[in-house]
Amino acid sequence: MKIETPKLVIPGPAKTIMLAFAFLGVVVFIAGLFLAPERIWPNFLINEFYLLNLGLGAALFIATLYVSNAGWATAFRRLPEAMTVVLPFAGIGVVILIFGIHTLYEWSHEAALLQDKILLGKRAWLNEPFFIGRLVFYFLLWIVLSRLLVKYSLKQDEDGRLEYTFKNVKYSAIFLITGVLMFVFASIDLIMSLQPHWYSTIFALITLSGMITSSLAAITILMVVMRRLGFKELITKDHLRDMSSLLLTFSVFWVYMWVSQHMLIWYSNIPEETTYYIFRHFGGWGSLSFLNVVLNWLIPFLALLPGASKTSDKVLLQVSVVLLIGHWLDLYIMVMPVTVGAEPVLGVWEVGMFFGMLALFFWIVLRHLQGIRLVPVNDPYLVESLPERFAESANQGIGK
Amino acid sequence: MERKIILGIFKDEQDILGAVKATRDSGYDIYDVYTPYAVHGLDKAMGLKPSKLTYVCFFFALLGLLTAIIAQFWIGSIDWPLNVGGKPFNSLPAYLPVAFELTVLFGGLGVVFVMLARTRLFPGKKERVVHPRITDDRFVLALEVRDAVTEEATVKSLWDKYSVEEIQQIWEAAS
Repeated sequence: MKIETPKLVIPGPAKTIMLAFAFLGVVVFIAGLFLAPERIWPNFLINEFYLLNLGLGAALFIATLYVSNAGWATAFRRLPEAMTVVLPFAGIGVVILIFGIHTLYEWSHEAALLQDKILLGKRAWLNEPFFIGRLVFYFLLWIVLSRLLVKYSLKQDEDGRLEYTFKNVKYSAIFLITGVLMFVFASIDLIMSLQPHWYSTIFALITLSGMITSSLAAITILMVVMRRLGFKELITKDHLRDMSSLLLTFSVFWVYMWVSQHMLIWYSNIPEETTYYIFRHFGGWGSLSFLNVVLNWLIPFLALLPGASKTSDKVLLQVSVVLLIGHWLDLYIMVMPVTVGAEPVLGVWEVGMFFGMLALFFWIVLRHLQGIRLVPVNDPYLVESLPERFAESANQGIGK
Repeated sequence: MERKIILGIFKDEQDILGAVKATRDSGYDIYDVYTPYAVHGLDKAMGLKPSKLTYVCFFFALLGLLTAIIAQFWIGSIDWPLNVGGKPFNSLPAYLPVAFELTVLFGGLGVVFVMLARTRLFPGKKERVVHPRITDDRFVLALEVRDAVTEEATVKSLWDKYSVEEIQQIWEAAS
């Protein structure tokens, strides 16, 4: 079975633009450290968490494919594999984040801690050394497991041995249990502990569904970009339809979780729980919370319902961009009210860092894609994923 | 008037796909295709239009949503206002669970009943199986023709390329 795999070539100007934006993001961050640290650290946290979401969501996607013996996505599996490459960069980001702990987290101040009975009670979990140690552990685990998945997938290209698939099924199962559990802890540590008095047992499910939706949107954008660059035969309309069904599903799942948390807190009306929403339901934050649901659920839901839009490159690209912005807004609403107060702000710090992060992400991923074989040519499931015409010739090679 | 139908029995998924394409290209009207499982690409090969049932489902779902909102508003705010936890009588968040459930219930049941009505299925209907093995390992292509006797030869030469196993004719009284 022989499949032509041309290399991906990114047009020069696109590369320059991405690099320029990424550089701009770094400049904004460094300038912000001196000019407005109380604005730049929450923004850094948002973008760091977002970058982690994109990489980890892709690893989750690959692991789910392996564990469920799914073949439909094998033809474009190199795209999520390339996205996991950003995890080490997110690891560097979390090391930088350690310097911002005192600006971000109320519980890290000894003086505030000693006057607060509730915080003293939570001290066993929320203290600096344990916090940093946990974060390092999470990231090491994610990076090692995702590296293994990508490594064996690439190795299979060379000698085509089946044992790599079995190995990856095993590592995927480990990743799905430990990796996702660590993400639950990470979202509690990084985001929920910003308001250390408040807690919600469903919080991690909101961040988890947001992570899956945003990484699926990024994969879809990469697929459409690849199709525009001339890979229409490899990434077909059938693949797009499956991806848009997943996007629709997880967008609905996100709003389901969002409503679940919101409605239960609204109904029971307990002061220690309502503090979170009282802040986010009036004034500018109220409008943003409404916009959040519109961007992350209403627009994707209505846009992806008709059958025709599920295979349209244009609609999928637009919906995916809306979802990427929506996920940023979701994180913005979670993080920013704690530090900037009663009215939302949007300035060069927010916009510059977000676009810098996205540019950095796409630059890393596309650069990685340029250097590798774009199709896992020896994967046993590839046949199931290819268009009919390829599959027929492949069938004759293997089956008969 | 009665319909004259020729049945071709095939053994393989690829054969039936090829035969369907070739038959349509020669200008015949395909009556139906019977397979033991869903064959990928068959809808496209048969030239089936996308189902209109999705619109039915959307309509019923919308009906369910409106029913739930209006009913809860009328019951909770007009007919029998009850103070629950000090909440306003007309509170949208409280309507959401029932609204969601009725949307799914109306949409799901509505589309199933419309589908049953459109395909004329009902409990106790006598089954019509064109070939005893279509639930096992055979694929059947049913073709409507004007004159079964003369056209069988042309159809047979067309289907021989796809190793047709057997050709049968049936006359069905028009309903």
